[in-house]
Amino acid sequence: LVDLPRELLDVRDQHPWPSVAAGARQRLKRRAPELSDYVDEMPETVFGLGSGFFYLPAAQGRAWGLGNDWLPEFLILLALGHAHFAAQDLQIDSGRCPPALTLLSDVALLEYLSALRDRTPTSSFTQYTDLHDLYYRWYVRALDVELRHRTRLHPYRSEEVLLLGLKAAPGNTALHIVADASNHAQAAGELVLGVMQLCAGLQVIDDLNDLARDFEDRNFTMPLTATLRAMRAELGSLDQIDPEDLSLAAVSSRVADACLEVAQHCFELSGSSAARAEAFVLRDLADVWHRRAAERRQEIVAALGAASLA
Amino acid sequence: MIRVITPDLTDEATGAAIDAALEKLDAAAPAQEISPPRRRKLRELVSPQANGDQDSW
Repeated sequence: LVDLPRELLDVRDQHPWPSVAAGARQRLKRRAPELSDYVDEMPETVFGLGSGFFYLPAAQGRAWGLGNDWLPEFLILLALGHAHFAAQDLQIDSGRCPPALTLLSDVALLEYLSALRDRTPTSSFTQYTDLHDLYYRWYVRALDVELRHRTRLHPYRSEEVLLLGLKAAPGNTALHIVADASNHAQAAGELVLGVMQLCAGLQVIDDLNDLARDFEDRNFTMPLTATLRAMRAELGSLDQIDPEDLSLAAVSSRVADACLEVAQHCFELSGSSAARAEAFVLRDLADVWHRRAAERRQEIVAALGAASLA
Repeated sequence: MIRVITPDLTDEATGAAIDAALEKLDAAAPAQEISPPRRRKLRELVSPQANGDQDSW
């Protein structure tokens, strides 16, 4: 795999994920001591991933001049928000959110909103909570697209593919915080746009990797829908399909290649928006993902060429 | 239903390019005759492991 941008890896090295998750646990236990045992038992993934993507806002902030002392509390803020949406997404995707995590979800949201208010400039008391409301509606818009595709197997339009990037919209408020704190408020709009375009591409790739699991959840993502349509499947006969066959069908039908091409276009859009915002960490991350998709397409073409000779 | 206003997420040229890629999906059909070893190789190209572990994102 093409390596992540150096700036992301540096922030991750200096603020290891377990310490961020520990900080988030502490805040949750302080707000709801009754739930302390459950908070301790939650896996770290509830609070986010130790991934380059999670560190993107912090790394962009640092590239824009924010000091290291600013980052720990900011990363904890992201972890609290993630905990709420991890629970919500688990319920939406599978309908199986554990009871303890369901309880913690609202506590995490309350703590997250409190942290947003604490960071709001005194001149505009509700600035960040208003932004949270706006971006929550973007998130709902994306979920609306997804839920409508669960009732009927029908092709996705380009507009819908891009709207699915808005599933990550709740994280946009943190991008404004970074832009404001680093005196780059004028770049926030393009930064948000670029991150949403990046997320649209990442969503396609994630869904391409999760064909079997999404099939079991009957979550008809774009790659799954395209694969099932290529197999001439219908909603009434899905029980006859072996989930293990989906990945083979996706590759051999060239659905996988077309999905990766769509993702590449999303990454190109993201790179252009990032360049306009002078957000070069985002621009470099979009470039990494564009190259990763290109490499994977080459592997698929090579494997199909070999398969045709088999 | 009331739709929230969302940003223009693409330009005209890229939107057309994405539409063209999506149109390829309408004609897609799985290849029928692939030997078992090749099947295994092709399956590996689309899997949660295909893009590395979570940290590589």
